[in-house]
Amino acid sequence: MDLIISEVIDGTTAIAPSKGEGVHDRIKAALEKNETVYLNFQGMELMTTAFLNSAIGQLYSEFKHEVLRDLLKIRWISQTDAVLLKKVTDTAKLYFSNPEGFEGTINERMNG
Amino acid sequence: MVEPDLLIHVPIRVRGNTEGYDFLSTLAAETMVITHSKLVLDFKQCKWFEGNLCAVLGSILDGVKARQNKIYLRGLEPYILKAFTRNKFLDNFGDKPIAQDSLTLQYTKFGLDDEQMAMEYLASQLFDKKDMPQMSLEARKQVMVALFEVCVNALTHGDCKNVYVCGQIFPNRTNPEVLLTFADLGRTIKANVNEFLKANLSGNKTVLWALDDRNTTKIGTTGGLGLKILESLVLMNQGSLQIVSGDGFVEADSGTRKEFEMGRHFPGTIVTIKLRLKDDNFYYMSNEVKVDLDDIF
Repeated sequence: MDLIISEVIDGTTAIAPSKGEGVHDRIKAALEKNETVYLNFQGMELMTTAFLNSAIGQLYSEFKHEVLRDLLKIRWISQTDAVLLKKVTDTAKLYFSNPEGFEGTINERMNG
Repeated sequence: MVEPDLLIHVPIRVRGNTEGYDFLSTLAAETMVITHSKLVLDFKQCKWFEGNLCAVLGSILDGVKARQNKIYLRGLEPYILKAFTRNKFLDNFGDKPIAQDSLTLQYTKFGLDDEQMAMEYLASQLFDKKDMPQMSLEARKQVMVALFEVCVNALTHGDCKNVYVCGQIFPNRTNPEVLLTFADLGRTIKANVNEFLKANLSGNKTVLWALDDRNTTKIGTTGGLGLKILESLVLMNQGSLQIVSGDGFVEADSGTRKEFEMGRHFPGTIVTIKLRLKDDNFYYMSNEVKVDLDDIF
């Protein structure tokens, strides 16, 4: 499936996390059918990590990392956005591999 | 002459330092509970009020206005009056609008639904100004992303309707720079972090925690990248970043984080960013880190 992000959000800027929900739902539905999803970011002027977390980061809580690696493909993205997306997916992989551990480490570090 | 129900004297200098933020915190605290009253802000002693801090003053006075109070600004020195008029601050508090000065980023506020307006604001108020050096589109985009991360943080973590913004450009300083302040009166970083960690950390410790990569108070999901992105940008630009929230006040400057003791508690969050305008690193910002698109997921 080709997913043109600007069409899903009906615009070229994605600042608020709420805009990511529709994108997330479309990707999730396709992945549940084992479909390959081509994420097309062409025309996107600006995205925040808050949006990318909501659209893509949370998929790591619902699918195995291997599934996402095999079925998600990128059609077009600027280097700036690719850097942001990589930060989001790296954090999500780390967090969802062990959420309690991740939060526990943070608590331990702060509270001794 | 209006007989005030509450009279507050503005100190001689209001800048982005402990004294300035303490004054704004006091103002927020003392005006928080008044309704249907006359508030007079007396500027007679005030010789300097940093233009970008109008974002904080506006966030406080907007709430005062919403609680059916009347606000009177008195005794402004002519140059402060001019500055407050030219950055359009006084348009919102009863004065007659005049043409905006090209060296200000006008006082305004954004909500979560104002994305387009916010994009246009940064373009017209910052990037397209005649005194601004040309930036590559990618560099411009990286600055915008970092600034919007601040707005989103304020609106989502602070759980507030609006974030207030105002700025000032200083083209004639030895290092020309822009000062930009974002303010909100939402939940503080201290409250959010302590609730999340089930801890009782000081304001400074909670701000430092929030600045660490990947730390987020969202439960069951990821985040925590926005402030780090902003801090990295500021570091590369050799600018600075101040975060005031609750009784926390942390400044990131030249790769170090300094903590300051606030005497008062600010009931929200203030983020002040200083960016150097004539920095080659900044204007020709390239993505040294090339991301392999086959290795993202």
